[in-house]
Amino acid sequence: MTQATWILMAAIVAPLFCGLLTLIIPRKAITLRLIIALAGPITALWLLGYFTRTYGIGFETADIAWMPTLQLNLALNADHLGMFFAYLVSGIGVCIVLYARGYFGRDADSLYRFYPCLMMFMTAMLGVALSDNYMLLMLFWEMTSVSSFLLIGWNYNDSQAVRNAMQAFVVTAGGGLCMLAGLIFLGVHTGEWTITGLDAAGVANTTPVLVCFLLIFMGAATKSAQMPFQFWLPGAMAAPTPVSAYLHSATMVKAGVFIVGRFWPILAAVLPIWPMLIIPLGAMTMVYGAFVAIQKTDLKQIFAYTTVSQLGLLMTMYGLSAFEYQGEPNLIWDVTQILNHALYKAPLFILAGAIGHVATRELPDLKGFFYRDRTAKILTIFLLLAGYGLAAGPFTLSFTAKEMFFYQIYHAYAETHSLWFWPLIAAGIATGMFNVAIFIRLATTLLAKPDPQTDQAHDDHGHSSHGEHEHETGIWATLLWVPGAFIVSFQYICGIIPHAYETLFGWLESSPYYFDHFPMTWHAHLGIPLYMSLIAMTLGIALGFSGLLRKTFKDPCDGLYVQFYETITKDLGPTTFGWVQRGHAGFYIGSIMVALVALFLWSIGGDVLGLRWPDGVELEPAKSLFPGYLLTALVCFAAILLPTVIDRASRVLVLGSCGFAVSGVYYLYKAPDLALTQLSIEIVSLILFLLVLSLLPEQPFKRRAWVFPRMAIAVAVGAVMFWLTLTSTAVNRPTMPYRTAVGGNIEHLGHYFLRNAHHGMDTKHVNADSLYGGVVERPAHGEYAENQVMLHPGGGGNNVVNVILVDFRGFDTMGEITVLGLAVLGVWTLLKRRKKTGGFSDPSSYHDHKDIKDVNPADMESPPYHSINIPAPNGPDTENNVFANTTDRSLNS
Amino acid sequence: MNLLISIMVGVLFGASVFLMLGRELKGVCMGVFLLGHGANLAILGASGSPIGKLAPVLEHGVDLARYTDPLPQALILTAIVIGFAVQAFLLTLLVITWRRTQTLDLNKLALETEH
Repeated sequence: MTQATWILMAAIVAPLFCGLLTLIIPRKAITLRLIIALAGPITALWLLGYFTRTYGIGFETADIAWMPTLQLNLALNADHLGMFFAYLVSGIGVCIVLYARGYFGRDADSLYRFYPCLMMFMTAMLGVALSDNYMLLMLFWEMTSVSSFLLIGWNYNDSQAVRNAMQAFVVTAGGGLCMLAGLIFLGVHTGEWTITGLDAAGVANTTPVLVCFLLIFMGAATKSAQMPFQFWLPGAMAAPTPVSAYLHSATMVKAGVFIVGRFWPILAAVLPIWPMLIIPLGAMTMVYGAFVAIQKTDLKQIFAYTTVSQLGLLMTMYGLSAFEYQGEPNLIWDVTQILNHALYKAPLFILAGAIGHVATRELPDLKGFFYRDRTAKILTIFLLLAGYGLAAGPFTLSFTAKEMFFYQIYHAYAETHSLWFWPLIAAGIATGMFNVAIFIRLATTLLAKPDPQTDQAHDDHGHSSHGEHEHETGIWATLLWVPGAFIVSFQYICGIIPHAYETLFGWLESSPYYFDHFPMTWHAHLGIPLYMSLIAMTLGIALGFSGLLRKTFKDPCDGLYVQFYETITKDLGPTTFGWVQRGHAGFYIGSIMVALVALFLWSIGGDVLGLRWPDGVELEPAKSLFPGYLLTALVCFAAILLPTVIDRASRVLVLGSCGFAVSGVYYLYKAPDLALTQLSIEIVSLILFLLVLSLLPEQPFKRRAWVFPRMAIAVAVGAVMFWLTLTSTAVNRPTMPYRTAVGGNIEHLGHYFLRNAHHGMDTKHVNADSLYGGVVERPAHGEYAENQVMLHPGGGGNNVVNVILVDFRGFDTMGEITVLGLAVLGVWTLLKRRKKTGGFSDPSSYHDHKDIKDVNPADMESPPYHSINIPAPNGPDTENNVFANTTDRSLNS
Repeated sequence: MNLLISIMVGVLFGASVFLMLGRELKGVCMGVFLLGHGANLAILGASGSPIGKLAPVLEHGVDLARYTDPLPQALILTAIVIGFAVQAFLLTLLVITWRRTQTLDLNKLALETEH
């Protein structure tokens, strides 16, 4: 069981390992690099095959705990769908590795950079295919997004490619975040963190499950480029063609479809929204993609949009599976559908890239390309063979697949008799029609008799656009098309020899409902589906030869992301920022204070009138309180007076008097240390403030603005603080959980300090039968019982506050000293860089100190905050005395 | 005494907030200092009324319950010293701000940061 898991994990990690291995060999060793890179997918294939032979598909592997607190376990699901995807990824991967060698030619740097990225994607995609655990799935899922981003932005000098890469990443990773949220909600809601376990958890059509499904589907729809997110996929064509053929047609974009396929056995029957959401969305994407595809001229763009269309078809297929036909789910050979698309779309891209390599990818410029030379003939033939698959012509796997899709629609209709399926039938026919028309146009353009002028034109074009690659010759050059030819051959082998299909791929099929054997072209039942195919083909041929839809068409959804991006970065973001970050200290302080009052009101439930006077607050006899009254009056008077005084020296004195009164309060509170400290510090700070004031100008009195709002906030905050202090004095302090040995609690922390300030009265009891950490009374005469160990010898002082500071909380005091030191350093740094010109250098600028001699004297006289002036140490014109110069200034002003 | 110290805290906070919301930077600094006083007194108030109690300086034969709570005092002592450091730093910033921008008006300073 565990061994099976490790075998699959090894298959997943093998490509990444080989990819990293390619980094350590010399750049020029191209062939060795190719071999190592090839070893990745081949090892994966071999391990998958070994697993299939030894354990069989659907074998329940063991869960291996990885990070159980994050619900992240190595739980794998090697069922038919998962294993099929794993085979697909590594199988096509082999072809792509070979094709990349032909595509990049002898460009060693590109190959050096390309293979690790590709291999990382391969590992990620294998992981997505085989993961059962939600978190593991998400891990690999995001890895595919990242590697896709790296590969789309391959040409990092091209700003458009970088923008497209970001667009693809934002869309798919945004959907990925939704999916992560959905999976976590689902896991928390059901308590099951694996997809296979979800079935057992018995999900029902409840709102939480619905929300989870919508979030997960969001991830699937963005990844699989469903409307309105389809724009990222054509944008992703900025990637090198091997990437387009691999990630953006055959594998990664199907991950969304795959997730839907993973969840359909559990959710499709439970959630009524499943068909209602997926079918219309998929069908719209299907028709729209094909409609746009026929109006594109760039080969890769055409195929990108047909990919969008096909992804819509696959989604619709899973949507239709929610219905039943003759007691079985209405899902016919879903693996075949997915495989079929990979078998013609990957070759299409491979050959489009090859044609772009030798000529151009612009279809109108390729008129008569077939007649150019021998390579052109080969490329054209195989492109058209793959294109015939796109058109779902008879004797291809594609034809059967499309038939089966039509069967699904027809069955759903036959079962429900809902009129809603008529538009879907029309959509299916329309898609087929567009695909046939695209093939006809490809064929007619490529095979048309060339006319000499355009021939010359596309020759130039080809060389200008692909001059950067070193073209390969000989045997390596054939790698440009051989992988594509190899893949497309399966379309025909399976289309013509049914047994071949069943031997090669049939055993991977998970849902052989309805058909016992693979249906062949000529076996197709004469029925509605065949008529649908015939209509589609007839219309498609007509459309292909007609002049309709020949103008280029721009997908309006292309602008969605740009709009979104611009809105966020140029409009919404700055507006919000400007609104929140006013740059005005009063705004910040005001919002904090208002929030304080609001929080207080919220905590009491807004019931201001219902506040009860706390118990235990009573005034002591007036005689003992007389100094208290006096000092209170003094503090309050000074505080209220302070804002009204205008003369700056008087203000400082009022502030000082307030401080002195506060030190009196400390004295009243039996805190002599505080009173003394406050007194001395108040004197120093008074002097400091007066000094600083002398550096500042006497500014003319300004009319006080906003007095009433300020006063309102001030009164509210004052009232809140008054109430909080009043209640806090009356609150019973929590008692400590410590007991003394002679009975009774240590009442509070202060009590503990009082007891132990001079000599340690409390010891730590280490007796096994007593609580660890309990504090017991120290026995008389300093004799300790055997089971008692003294925790500390006491502070050795009578002034408890003092002992706390230097002994119990010594580290606090050290921190305090550090703060003081930092403040001194800060003040010193801020004030020291001064010159007679009066400027201060900007501490945030990084001007080189050595360049001081090169500084233009004119710069020195520029406005103070732009000037560069670094004092020479002990130079005659530097003076670290802050005050001398500025007193002059204040005299001047 | 509890009531008195609460009144002091309330008034100190009110005055300090009023000053801090003003447009003059010197006033804002003063507000910050008042806020420090207010916060210290609020902590002190939480230790309960001192009437009839002794300063926490141990003498022989005195019941520990008669002393005031030393812990808030220790905390405030730290706070006073750090408050002083902050005060010195703030005053330096005041001087620097004036030298750089030739204004201490917060409305003008807010505009200053925008370009």
